[in-house]
Amino acid sequence: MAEVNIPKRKSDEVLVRMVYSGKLAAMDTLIDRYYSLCFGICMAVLKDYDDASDACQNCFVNVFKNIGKFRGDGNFRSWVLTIARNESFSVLRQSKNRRENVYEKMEPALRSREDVPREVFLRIESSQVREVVETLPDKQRLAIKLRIDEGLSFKEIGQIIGSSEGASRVNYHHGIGKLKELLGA
Amino acid sequence: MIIWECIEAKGYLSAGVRGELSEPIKAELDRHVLDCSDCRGELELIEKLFVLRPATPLQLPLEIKKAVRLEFFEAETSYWRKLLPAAAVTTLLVSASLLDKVLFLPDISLLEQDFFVNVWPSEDYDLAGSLVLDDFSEESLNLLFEEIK
Ligand SMILES: [Zn+2]
Repeated sequence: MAEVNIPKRKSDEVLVRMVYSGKLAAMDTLIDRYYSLCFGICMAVLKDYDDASDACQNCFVNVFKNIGKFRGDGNFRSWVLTIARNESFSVLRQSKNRRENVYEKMEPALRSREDVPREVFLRIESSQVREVVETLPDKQRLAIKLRIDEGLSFKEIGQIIGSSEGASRVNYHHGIGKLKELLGA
Repeated sequence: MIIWECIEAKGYLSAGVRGELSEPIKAELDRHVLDCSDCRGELELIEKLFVLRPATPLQLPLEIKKAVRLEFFEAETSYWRKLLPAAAVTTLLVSASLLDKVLFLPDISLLEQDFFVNVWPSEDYDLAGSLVLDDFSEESLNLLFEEIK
């Protein structure tokens, strides 16, 4: 039987070292690995496609501009989260006045083709949920979005919303509890 | 069979919705949710929240890569831009000294001082700029030949 060589996925640490030595392809791989997560965070904070895209771009520019400051003792993912958070809040400060009617621009994502009928059903139901989510305090709303949409750990959520791991867990559960109550679920 | 507490089951709900659970855990979770209306309600809520997540723009990774490259390229050009004036001055100095060598040699006045040689312009093109050795003593000629050897 012929042996198949499956190329190993390079760790973030290895890729960062490759970037240090000037390999642009490693930079692209890191971008491919994290742009979606980064956009999700920016979107959760900013609630606007254009602002989130800008913040996400700035995030990666700053990530690589300051790659020399990244010592590799923390992990790269955590570093991206911190910079994404900082970029988002800086854009938010600049564009608070443009935050009305942003949801008209939002295009919810589909999970996969097989899920379409269930997705459609859920989407109709979800429009009501969307309105209710907006009534939640920011920290609860962000904890829910980051946990459900992006799969962030409570520690990582704490990093974004500026609270401890325990406090972000509480924010999440309180938010879910409040949604259940408001939606009569 | 593991009997899960609700608190444990709820910890897996969002990962389950995102399709990130291993088969055995997924099976356990499904079993719990089937029997537990509270967790089932929460699962449905999480599903509804999950479909609200925004799609990532398709062009975004490309735009990010472009922006990052532009930043890097700009950093490099500005580095050269800073060096450019110094480079220009150096080039100017080097070319000026070369011009001096090319256009003004032999420098008559210097030759006069250094070698006590009479050199003057002539209307005769054959002689123009050449040394006139007629009135030189033996000693002076020897010295001169030593110099130009
Ligand atoms: Zn339960």
